[in-house]
Amino acid sequence: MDSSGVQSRVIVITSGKGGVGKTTTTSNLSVALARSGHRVVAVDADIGLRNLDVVMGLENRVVYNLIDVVEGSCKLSQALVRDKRVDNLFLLPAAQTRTKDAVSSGQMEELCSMLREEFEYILIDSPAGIESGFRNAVVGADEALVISTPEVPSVRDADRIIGLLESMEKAPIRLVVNRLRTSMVREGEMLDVNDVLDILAIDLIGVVPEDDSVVKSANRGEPLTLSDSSPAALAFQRIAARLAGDEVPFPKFDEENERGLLAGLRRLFGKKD
Amino acid sequence: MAEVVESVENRKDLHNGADRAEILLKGTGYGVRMILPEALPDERLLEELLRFSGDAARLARGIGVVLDLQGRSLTRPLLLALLSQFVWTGDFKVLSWMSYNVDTLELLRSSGFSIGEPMTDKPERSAGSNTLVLYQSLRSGQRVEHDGDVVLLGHMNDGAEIYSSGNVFIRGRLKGVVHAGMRGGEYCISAGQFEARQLRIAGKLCSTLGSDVEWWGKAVVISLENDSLVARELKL
Ligand SMILES: Nc1ncnc2c1ncn2[C@@H]1O[C@H](COP(=O)(O)OP(=O)(O)O)[C@@H](O)[C@H]1O
Ligand SMILES: [Mg+2]
Repeated sequence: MDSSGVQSRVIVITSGKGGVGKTTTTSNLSVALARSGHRVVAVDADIGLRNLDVVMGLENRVVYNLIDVVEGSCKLSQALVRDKRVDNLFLLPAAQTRTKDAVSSGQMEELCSMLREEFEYILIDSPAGIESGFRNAVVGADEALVISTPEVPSVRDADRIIGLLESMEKAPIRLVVNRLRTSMVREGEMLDVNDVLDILAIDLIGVVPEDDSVVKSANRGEPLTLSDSSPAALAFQRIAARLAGDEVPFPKFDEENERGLLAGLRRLFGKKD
Repeated sequence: MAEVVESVENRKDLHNGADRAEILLKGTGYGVRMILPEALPDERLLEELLRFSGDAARLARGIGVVLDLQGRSLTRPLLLALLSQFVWTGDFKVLSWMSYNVDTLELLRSSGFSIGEPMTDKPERSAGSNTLVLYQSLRSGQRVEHDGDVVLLGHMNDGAEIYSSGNVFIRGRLKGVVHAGMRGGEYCISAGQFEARQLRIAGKLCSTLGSDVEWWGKAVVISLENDSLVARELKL
């Protein structure tokens, strides 16, 4: 519970393969949730490869980092970077110069409980893969978002991650399909959302289209959900709203989204649980 | 209700209960054996079966089912009710009926139903054989090793593995690696939807499978017979 008595949620953003959009998702969801009035911290648990601060445009203001906090070299409040553009949004940066082994799972769990005292949403950006860095990022989380692109290797690796998350009893585990290219799906060159859901059999929380504005926003350090109304920005806003418990319909204009929803419904009736 | 609570608790140790009042599924070489325990009174049997149809039965749908009535003395009204409300609804393909009650067998036989284990040319299951039933899907990176038969009531995704000394039954889609009969013997692998590139039974390996085989994506039983692998599509 945070200081205002709201139940805190620790949500890890994860994937099997690297480069599928974890950091992009973490920054955009953090901004969107904070803009809708929640108290949010984005935690960069990709230790040694920090880039959440850059994507969020906060790198110049980083002084201390996550490792400093767990090692007791500074107070949590000193390491948190407040985002001046949005109320209630903070970043806990990763260390650039350390390796993933610099922190233990016990320390990460402890850190998460500290953050629960302060925040309603704790979003953890995790490293790719299934090594110790993954476990550390996941250990203190209640729920998980798994990011996959609609490509066979990405889906297979996501499946592996879902198995691990299930065995660690994270729930719910929900899927974000990122970088969907409608034209390629139509030409049969890419899996559609339906195919991905069919393989992974978890709930879909959103579909983000391939969108050049994502790369531009990362370079500028301005998450899309700060203001933009590009297709990806809207998609991240919808995901944030669903995360917060709103019933947001999957938009009709996007053929793929709709199909994903249908598949979700079909699974609702077609799968044990 | 106390009864309901009890049956929920019983769920935890499904495989070793012969005397409990709950329908059991057992994987076999030919499909699923549904054990209808005697402890379940006639009037509740149908109720349980229908409840079952909604949920776990979806897993058994589309594959062959053997109805095992155990020692129950089957009455004509119950048989008729079973047929009209369960068997003829088409949710299940009933391969045969089993019972060790003489009168029950006589009633079934005289009504023209097939009795006993179907496909008797299959390898005999050793008494007391040990079956592992998994009520889940196996995902990439998950591996099951078991001395006995394995029944997976879910999908087996690409990158998952099952190693078994007996038969392997997969209700859903088979995309992972299965090795049945690890210590030799004429065992079989069955899948609700076969999409695996390779499989192994005893010392035989087949690694050239692909979408060009005619039963790709279909319900299949693959068995080792006279030292060669034989695939049979399950046309239901
Ligand atoms: N929906 C999208 N459309 C276009 N580019 C994207 C999209 N999502 C991510 N990218 C780009 O893909 C790259 C990897 O994304 P990133 O979020 O850093 O992945 P990860 O954190 O999983 O390694 C970045 O250059 C990012 O800008
Ligand atoms: Mg990243």
